Amino acid sequence: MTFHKTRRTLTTVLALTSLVTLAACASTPNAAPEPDSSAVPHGFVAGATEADEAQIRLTYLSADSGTITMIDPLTGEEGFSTAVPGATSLSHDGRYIFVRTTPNAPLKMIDTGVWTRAHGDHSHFYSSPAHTVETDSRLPSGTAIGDGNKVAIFDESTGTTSILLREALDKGEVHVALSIPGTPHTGLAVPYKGHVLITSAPDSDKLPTAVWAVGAADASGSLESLPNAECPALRGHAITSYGVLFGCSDGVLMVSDDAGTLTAAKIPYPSANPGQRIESFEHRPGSSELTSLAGTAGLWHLDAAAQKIQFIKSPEPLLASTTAGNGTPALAVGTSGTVYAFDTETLAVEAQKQLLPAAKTGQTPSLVVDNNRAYLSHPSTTKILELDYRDQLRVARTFTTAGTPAQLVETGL
Amino acid sequence: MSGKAKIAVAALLIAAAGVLPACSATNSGSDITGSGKATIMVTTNILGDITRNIVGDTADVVVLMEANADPHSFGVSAYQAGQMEQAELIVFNGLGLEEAVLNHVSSAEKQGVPVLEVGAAIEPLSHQSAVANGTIDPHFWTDPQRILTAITVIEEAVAQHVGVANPEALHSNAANYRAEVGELDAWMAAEFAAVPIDRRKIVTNHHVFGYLADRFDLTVVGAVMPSGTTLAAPSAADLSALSTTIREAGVPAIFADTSQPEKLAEVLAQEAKVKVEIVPLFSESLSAPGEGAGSYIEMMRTNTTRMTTALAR
Repeated sequence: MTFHKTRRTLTTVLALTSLVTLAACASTPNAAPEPDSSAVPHGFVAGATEADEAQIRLTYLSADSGTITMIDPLTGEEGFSTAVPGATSLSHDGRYIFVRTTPNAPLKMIDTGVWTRAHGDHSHFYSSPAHTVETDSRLPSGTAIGDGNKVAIFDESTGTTSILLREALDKGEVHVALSIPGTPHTGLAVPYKGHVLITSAPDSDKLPTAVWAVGAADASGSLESLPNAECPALRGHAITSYGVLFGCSDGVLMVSDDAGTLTAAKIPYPSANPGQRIESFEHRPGSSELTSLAGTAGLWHLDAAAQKIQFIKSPEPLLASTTAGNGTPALAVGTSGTVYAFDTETLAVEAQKQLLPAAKTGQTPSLVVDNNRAYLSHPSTTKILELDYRDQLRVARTFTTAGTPAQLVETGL
Repeated sequence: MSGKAKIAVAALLIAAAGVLPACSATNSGSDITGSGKATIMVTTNILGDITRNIVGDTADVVVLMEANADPHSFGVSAYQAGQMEQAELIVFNGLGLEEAVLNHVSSAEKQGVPVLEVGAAIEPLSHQSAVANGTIDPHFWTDPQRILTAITVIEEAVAQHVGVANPEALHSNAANYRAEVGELDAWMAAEFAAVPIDRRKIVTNHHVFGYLADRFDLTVVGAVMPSGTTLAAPSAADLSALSTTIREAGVPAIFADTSQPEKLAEVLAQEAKVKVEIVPLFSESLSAPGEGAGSYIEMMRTNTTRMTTALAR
């Protein structure tokens, strides 16, 4: 029981007595009405509603028009849509989508209005109206990566990392809470529990070779090197519950948080290594199983919990892959437009289906996955396919899109 | 504080009031509602109903979360935060339930408002599933015996911290309400005892019934409901986890929060050949009056009747 006896008791007595004395004052400041909405920061979404299940949204970027459109997969209907001239790519933190335009232009931000929060042995699922987040000041430019609590934006041209706090964003307050100076390079910054992990490169025109860390709450904190966190030619990252993964030329670097202390370990590629190095990771948000393309020969399947990497040979070169984990197959799309489901135990193809047109140069399909379905789009079609990956890649539904999806992301998970 | 000191302070105030401008903006009390009574702020509507029953009309009870509000998702407006800092007492569930409200509770506490975390007084249980890693389960109200403890704790806190209009009425209200909840507990025990032991299984996606199960010797079997996106175009594979759980439990009904209960029952029957009734329950919030959970006692009776009726079929 929490009892805190304080001077408040004294005030109580004062209050009761003063009522009599001040009875003439009908209107006390305490009885003032709710302040009007003009006092609320713009972008504030009042009254998010809680739902019985994850409220997911599919958002696609139409390459030709720069239009960003959301689809509610419960109905298959398109909803919120906004034009972002010059938009080239999307990243997201589970709720907010960050839109890159020209390399040095400030990011644009869209609140998809759906998110999930873990809570003990269960999760809570929220939804509120989607909208473009208007900001008083310009957002930084760069690569935005979020872990659900913070967003780190790494500006390749300056090396500066800007931290936005979700707690503030969720109230409609968009401002940089912390700015961490660095050196310019093609790198990235990943918020992870109490730290921000930032890549370090020997030169601005070289790939990063290591991961450094800074305390996320410490405004005066300095970036420090992490023991054993070397990662030659670092490319790509993923956040899992076991740690943050980085793709290196000699394996996968995993940085983990052990009661506030960061540790780093390398997961090497298998010794008989037929694939090319990892350049990016794909997975279902929250899953500790991931996939990566392994050049033209096949794909990598990673288990962050077991710290294991295995190579899966593919019948043809692949353009996209992902997995929902938990014994479900690794999914991949080949250049012929065939979609494959690979058993991650036997490494054999358990299902395959020709679902997309054959790829033309520069056209990459998008494949995203949640606990129930995978969603597949292709830049030359006007549809999104909903795949049941537990049922031989059955096409459960097909959503028709107004634009041609160059990139597809899924939020709300 | 001794009675003597109170009188001294009161005398001081009366003297001071004469000096103050007649309608000073200075805040000096918790009469937030303007009723002339002291105000107790309560976070959840379930604890709000319980507290109202205890204090009766001896003090005002302001509930932060209205009916049908989920305590986990609840946020506090600036106005409500201001109200909290002027309350005589803040009663909250605690044990991690009201994450979004907690900073306002502690800031009111720093301003000198007494706060009562009821959950800390009721012998908390851990969440049962492995995923939760032994985190504390805050949903203690599903056990009426723990509510009996809560009644006493709230009664004592009110008596100690709140200048109630009529202390005797407070204690007799609390005693009456304890009797009602005691009756509820005995009735629930008899209702659940009438269900054969092998049927006393609550297959559910609710996460609030750990305390209920502990009190009435029920088994809670966690289940994941297929999502709306799978129900739109389902196959047997989508339902295998749930249908296996239902078959293994051998129950005629499951208790689920799902947006499409009829569709789920239909799909389970068609795709997985499992015939099961899907029964909704009240979990974290009271309903509007007349909808089955207008009060704590009504909510518990409704849930008990729904569970025992469905399991006895």
